[in-house]
Amino acid sequence: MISRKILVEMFSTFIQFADDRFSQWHTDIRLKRRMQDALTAVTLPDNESVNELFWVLYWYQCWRSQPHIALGHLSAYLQETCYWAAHRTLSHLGSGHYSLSDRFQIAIAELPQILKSYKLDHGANLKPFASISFSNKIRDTLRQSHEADSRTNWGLLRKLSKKRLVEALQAVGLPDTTIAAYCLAWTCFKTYCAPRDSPATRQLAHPDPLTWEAIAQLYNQQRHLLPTDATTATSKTIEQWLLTCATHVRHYLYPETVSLNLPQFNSDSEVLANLSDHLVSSPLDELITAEEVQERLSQKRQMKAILTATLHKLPAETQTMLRQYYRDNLTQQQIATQQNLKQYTVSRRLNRAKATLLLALAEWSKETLHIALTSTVVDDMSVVLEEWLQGYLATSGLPQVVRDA
Amino acid sequence: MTSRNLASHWLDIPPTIHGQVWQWSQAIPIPGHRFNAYLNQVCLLTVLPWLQEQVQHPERIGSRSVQSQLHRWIDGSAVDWGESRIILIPTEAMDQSELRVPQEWIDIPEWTGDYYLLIEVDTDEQWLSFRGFTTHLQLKTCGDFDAIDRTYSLPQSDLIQEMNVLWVMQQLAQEPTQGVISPLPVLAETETQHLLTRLQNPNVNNPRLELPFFQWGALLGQERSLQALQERYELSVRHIAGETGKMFPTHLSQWFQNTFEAGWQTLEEIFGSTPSVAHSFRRGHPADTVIQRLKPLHLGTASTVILSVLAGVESHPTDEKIEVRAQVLPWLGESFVPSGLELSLLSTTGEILQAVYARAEDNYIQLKRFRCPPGTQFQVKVAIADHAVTEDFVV
Repeated sequence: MISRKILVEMFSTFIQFADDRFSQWHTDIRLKRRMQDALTAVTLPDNESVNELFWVLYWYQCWRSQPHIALGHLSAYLQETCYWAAHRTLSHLGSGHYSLSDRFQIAIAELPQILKSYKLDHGANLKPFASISFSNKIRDTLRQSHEADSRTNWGLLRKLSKKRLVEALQAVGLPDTTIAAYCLAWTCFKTYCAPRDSPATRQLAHPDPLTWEAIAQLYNQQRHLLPTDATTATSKTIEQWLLTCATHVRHYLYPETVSLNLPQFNSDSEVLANLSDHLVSSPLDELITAEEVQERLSQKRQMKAILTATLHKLPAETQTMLRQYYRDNLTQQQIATQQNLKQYTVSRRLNRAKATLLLALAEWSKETLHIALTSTVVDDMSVVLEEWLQGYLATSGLPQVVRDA
Repeated sequence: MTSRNLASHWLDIPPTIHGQVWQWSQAIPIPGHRFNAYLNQVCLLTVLPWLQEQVQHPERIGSRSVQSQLHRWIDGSAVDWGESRIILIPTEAMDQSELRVPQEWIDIPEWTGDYYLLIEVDTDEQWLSFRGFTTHLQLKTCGDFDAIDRTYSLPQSDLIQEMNVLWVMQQLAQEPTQGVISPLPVLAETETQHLLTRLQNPNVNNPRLELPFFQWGALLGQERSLQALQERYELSVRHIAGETGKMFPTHLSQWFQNTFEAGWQTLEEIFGSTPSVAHSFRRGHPADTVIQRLKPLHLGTASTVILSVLAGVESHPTDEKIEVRAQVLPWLGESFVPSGLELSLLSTTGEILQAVYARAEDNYIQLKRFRCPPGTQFQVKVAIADHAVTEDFVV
């Protein structure tokens, strides 16, 4: 894949796949025009990193008030990040079901959610944040569809959160009252259908008639808790409901029926074009200024200096381990073998080192930036740390996009 | 598993913990309740040693055992961790899309925690993994309250997923973690009794949804009614390990031939590879042959304890007598022997020869050691409130 370097392209072009590989950059004409218009409206210093950050922050700020307009630009911007996240999951459990472009689509569809979680106040850049989120999304989807494949209906129903069950039922358009009844039936099912001989639930067997009776009895005892009057249910009915739930959940977790080759943001372009004039006429200064960008960059440099200093105070073997993990891209198992350690020892040392670095960053921020440290704030800083670990420590072996992040 | 991300923390469930807890949970009659109790207990016991590793003062970590009998209905365990209190919420769900916390952990003042951890327990592969955490404040102010199952929930996207943040917060000045909750009423004794009786009705399948929350919460918030509740639920539970002692005396002299009766385990089998110092007796003369075996005893109510017996012969014996020491230790993950627990030595006629009682916060209690010739019979009795287990021994 050829990474984009020109600012207009970075915010208006999309990856096109052919034979499940990167084929070319496809330009969305309307996004391109809007980006060009926006570019002429501001004067920025001639500095690539300032420029890029400015436009990321600009579109991100814009997304907060006008999400439909900005989403396309931010999606364009994160194409490489998403591509490499999809690429990295190639060897993951269950990845056989999904092509590279499927995995790419799974991840990019998560963007609105990612933007909602992203906070720019504490120095984290969008790319590394999105990179972590894309990877997590793909990994979770792969694991869940793998589990869905290997589980009986009953084993699958136990392995769900209530939220996911409700989402799966909502996705097929069931009314709220039905969903509430199904959820109660599901809770009653979980009370009586559990593994007996060992704690494994994957192959959980079809409950016997007596168990269904017990489930139905409990449901009927508790149906008064439902928001609307629910009638008595027989054990046959309850069994049918739960089978329905299992079917919907399976489809929801393993979206084989949904076309993953969803059109990208170009299909909305008509709407976007109509709105774009309005957008560009709004004063840019209200969203972000070049000074703010400069300030963020300088703050980032200070953070990096603190982290570098803290890193050098760590024991030499811990530094080596961090380099092996982030620079040489070794797995924890490979590091363990090489250093004659247990894998969990490696994992713990890496985590402990990260905690030390994070603490240094948090204390510095508190003293220098006068930030009240809550766990949410420190969590934002952990993204800065991850970005630094991947950027500072990695000089080879990682895809370009991660290094640039 | 290559997908293990450094950002998440994974722990394998030690087979010893799985075995102990699985056996312990078998006494609970309803399958789903039994499995819930298993999930919660396995989660607590696996996480505790790991939490201890993360702090500088591991002795300040302790779990409270009060909830172990209520786990079948109420997910979650409380762990005191340094200055903060952590509530561990296990889940079977693989999708990790939400943290769902029973209302008890949020709205009963005595139960609230600072941090709430979502822990996925994969019982097929026997590992658990941290999926994020949040504060009481967040759950109370931003959480979604579900009136049907009385839970507060937050979507995963609102959780903090980087566990290192929790370690870092532990070393910084405390942040505000507690949301505002309304006090629960203090129940009069007659009302308490009335409510307890109502819950005792065998048709009540799920007591936590039987009463309005303010009453249920008030019952659980009061130490005495909480105890009473747990005892009542315990009545329906069979005692497995305890009852075998009567019929099959333990032959201590056979221990020296490596023959052990069922139920007796080594220190390592029970506590895993790193038993705490408090669990080992101080050794006598280094050349003495000493054998230590332990057995979990289930004592109704909330209490499971571990009876530890050590039989010793001197390296140059002047007689054939065997020295016996008996100790009661807290159940796995608990810091203290239940207060008021009695450990006594009885003759075959039932005469009490020695007795000790656990005070508040005793890490263990033990009988004075005694020596007796082969063939001697005696009993060791462990009792609390209405529950007692007696073990028969032959030297």
